[in-house]
Amino acid sequence: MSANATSTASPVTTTATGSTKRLGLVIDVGRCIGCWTCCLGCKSLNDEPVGIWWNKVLQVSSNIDSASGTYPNLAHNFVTLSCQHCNNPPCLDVCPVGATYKRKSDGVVLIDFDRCIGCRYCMTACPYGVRSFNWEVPDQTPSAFPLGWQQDHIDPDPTSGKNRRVYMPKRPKGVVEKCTFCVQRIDSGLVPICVEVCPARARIFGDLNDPNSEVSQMITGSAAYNLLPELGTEPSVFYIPPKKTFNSSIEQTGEYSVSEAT
Amino acid sequence: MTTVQLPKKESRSSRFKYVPFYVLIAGLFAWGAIAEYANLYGSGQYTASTNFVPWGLWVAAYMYFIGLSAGAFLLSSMLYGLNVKILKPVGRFALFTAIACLAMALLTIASDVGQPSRATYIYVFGRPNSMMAWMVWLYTAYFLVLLGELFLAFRVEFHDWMDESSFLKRTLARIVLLGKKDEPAATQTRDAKILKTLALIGIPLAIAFHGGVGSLLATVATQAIWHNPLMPIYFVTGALFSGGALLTGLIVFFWPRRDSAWKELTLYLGKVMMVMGMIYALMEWAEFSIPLWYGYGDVREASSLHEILYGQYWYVFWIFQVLLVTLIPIALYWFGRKSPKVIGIASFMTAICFLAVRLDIVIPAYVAVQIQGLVFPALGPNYSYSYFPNLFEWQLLAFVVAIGMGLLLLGYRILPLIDNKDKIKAENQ
Repeated sequence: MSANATSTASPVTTTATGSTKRLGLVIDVGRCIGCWTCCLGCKSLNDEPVGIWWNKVLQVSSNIDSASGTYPNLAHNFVTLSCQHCNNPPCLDVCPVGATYKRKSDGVVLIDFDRCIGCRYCMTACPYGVRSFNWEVPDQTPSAFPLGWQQDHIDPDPTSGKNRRVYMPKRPKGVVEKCTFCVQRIDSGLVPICVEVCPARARIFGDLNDPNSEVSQMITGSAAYNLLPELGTEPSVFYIPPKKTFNSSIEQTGEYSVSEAT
Repeated sequence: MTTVQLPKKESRSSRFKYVPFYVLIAGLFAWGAIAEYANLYGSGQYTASTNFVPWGLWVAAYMYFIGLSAGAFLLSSMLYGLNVKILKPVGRFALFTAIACLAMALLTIASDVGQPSRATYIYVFGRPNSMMAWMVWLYTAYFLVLLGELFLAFRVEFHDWMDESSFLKRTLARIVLLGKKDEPAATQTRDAKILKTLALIGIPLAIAFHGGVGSLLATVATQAIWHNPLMPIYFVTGALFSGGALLTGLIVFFWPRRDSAWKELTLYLGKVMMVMGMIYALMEWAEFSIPLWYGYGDVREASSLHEILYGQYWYVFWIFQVLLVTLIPIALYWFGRKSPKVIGIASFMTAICFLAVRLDIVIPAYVAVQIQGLVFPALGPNYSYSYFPNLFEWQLLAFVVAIGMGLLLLGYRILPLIDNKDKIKAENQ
């Protein structure tokens, strides 16, 4: 997070696609305990192959067991990072075949696995490093206790085009994948699995354009921020800083110091 | 155009002259084909690329080959489009070099993309705001122009081949001319006019498509060292320098005649290359000195540039890019300006080592981390900023190089790239 990322952000009223609904995620960094449950839930449900993580926990220190800062101003904080479902996604603009697209009905950024040519231009353009490539054929051994979502999911939004396969349990070698906000679940009226399994209730999901939604209420009046806002990508993932906030930029110094928020 | 037949039998020394090249090509081909096969049909991960360094050696090599193609083509256009007469003997040779390098580039990038069988999607679903889509469309147009020019440039020879005793040549000529044998004199003037038009169309096209490769990188605002409006111009300059150098090297060492016209041509090309090298050196100086001059500014851009200059792979820049691509060749062009051999050595040095320039553009961009803390051992080796091409990547590249060298050598041996008269003279010497 950059220093200017701590400015108060507010949801935009319309998405780039003109939709009035914009699904987004609010992550309360102060509540996150860094347990990786969201990452493991995501990995299991979405059948992510070995070596691929759609969701990651970033450690705000150099070591998993250590706090950041200088004694006595120490903090132990975590930032979870997955696709930011930007309102102005760089990955979408560069895709030569329109495999990556932004769904008109809710602003979720998806990948059509049947169309992706595997050029990885989107990975190069994404500033958040949240896209992963299937460098190898996934393990096809059927699990005795499959935890993941085992059915293909075709985008039901007619404006997205026909037969957009946006989820499949085993993605083929040579395509890019990333967080979909658990599109197969949200299309069934459920919340993403990371939100459901978070034991600290640090992740809240909802419509950023609905002023009465929980996410909007949390953002309004808080110090919620986006990652790398200076790039103009307008992410749909917001972070609420902990009571103890960082007052220096990790991007610029690689170090954190902390002070009590007033 | 001459219709003199080649001697039926080559001399013994001439026959064995190319044996080392055939052996080298066969070796590279056999070794590389294993990698190409594994890459196409294997299930594992073979490259050293990671999710944070998604483009590696093959993308850099593809940009390098494309540059060679564009450079060679632009030189041919100086003859066919702008009528620079001194280049007359090398027109077809330059065209064929351009198409061989284009084939190498396309093979390299086809090996790099995850789903090469979906390449046609760019024509079906292509998005006009993606630079990559534009690049593919422009390549296609360039490829068609190249084919058209090659056909017209060789047409008279193909007419002669219709009556050839060699089955290969006769069949090739029949396929190319669709079995029709016009009177060469009737088509020659018309062909020359069309060729000139195609060459003139080809000039902006070659500049656009190779500038487009630069734009492919430059438009990615999230990669600090790429996001530079001069990048497309830098790419075109590099293409002229490297492609011209390749052509010059080939002419110096593989041209059949060693007469005064050949010497005049090579010395002329040496001068052109020296000027190209100086322009390229100026661009390179600007690329590094301007962002780093006062020591402050965009931290990410500076960190990438520092990595190139003083990082783990400093020698790629200082030894290859500065010395072997730029300074030594320019010095050789100057001090050896009267020696075709020195010009040839300088040219091959530039042409071969230019791959380092492309590597130093593509890879270091990923070093500048946007979000700290992303590297976490538990995530596995694919979430790393560390990259160095592994043996497999070089092996596959050897396959591509073997194809390119094979095409060039076969072209020289079979196709009428050079005037028959010249060839006969050389064979009889």
